[in-house]
Amino acid sequence: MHEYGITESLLRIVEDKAREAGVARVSTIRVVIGALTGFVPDSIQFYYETMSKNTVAEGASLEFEELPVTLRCRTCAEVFKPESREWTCPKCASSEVDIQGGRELYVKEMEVS
Amino acid sequence: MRKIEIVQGILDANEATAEGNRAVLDRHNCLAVNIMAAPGAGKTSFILRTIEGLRPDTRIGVIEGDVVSTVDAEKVQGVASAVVQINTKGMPESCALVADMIQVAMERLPLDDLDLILIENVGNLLCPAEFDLGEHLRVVIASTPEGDDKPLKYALIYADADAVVINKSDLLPYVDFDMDKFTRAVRNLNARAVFFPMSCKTGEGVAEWVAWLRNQRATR
Repeated sequence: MHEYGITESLLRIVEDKAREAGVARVSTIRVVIGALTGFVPDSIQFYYETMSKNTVAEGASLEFEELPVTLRCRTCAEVFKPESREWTCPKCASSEVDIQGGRELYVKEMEVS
Repeated sequence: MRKIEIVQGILDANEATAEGNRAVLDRHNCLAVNIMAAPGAGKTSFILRTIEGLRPDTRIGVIEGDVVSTVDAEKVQGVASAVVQINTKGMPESCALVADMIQVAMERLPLDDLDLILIENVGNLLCPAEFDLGEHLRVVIASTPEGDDKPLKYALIYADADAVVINKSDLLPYVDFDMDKFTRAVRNLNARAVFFPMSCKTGEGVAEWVAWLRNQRATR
């Protein structure tokens, strides 16, 4: 639902980097999205197609890489990826955790010519 | 064909604006509270109870975020010192407030004459979790009819909360809501959140929350 602004920010980052590097065309953009964020790749793709028109990144393909949820057990410090919605430490069975990974949202790299 | 490494956060621009907002608020010695909840959990009633509890010695501004209506702003008008309404319809993000909107709203508030700003976010448990507004405290309001299983479903919003209000405690005898189960689920994700069982209808639990908020202001 909030992908419009996200796509706008994404495109601004790509355009700035392309200008800095003096590239003529961006062909691929790789975006990393954590599994806990509510961002929907299809929705970003949808806005991107319209928004990127007449930019250096028009028609670039968007590739999304989803990062899994990573938790750190507050009891025994084990870092683990939960296998179900039950966030229980596989080592000590505690459910008290800190979220370590899964909330990322960044532009990782782009392919240019 | 070559690769250019970027690694830049897409929300960085929002975070920079949020930091700017926070700096302006700090300069005016004004505490901002971001109030987030599902629709119907009681955000507006909670704001009214909070204002009532803090008057007359705290000067309070309210920023109302809503998709289209001004219903909530109208309810708050007259009891708050100042109210600004943000309609998110037609804005890039309609499902949550973002830092830019708060920046604009703050320009319309008499910051020198305010001690506290209550920000009513758009009713939604997903999107608001992602956007820092420049607030000092994040409050999530759960309500007992929503059920006690929500913390894991909406992990981010609960993981980042400074306070969790459990509204509609007067309905506890009629709904399936296990208070222990709920607080344990939040505690599992968040070691610091403070809990406030409350009924904005009867006023039960409001005093404890108001005392905590006063203390937050005093110790900052």
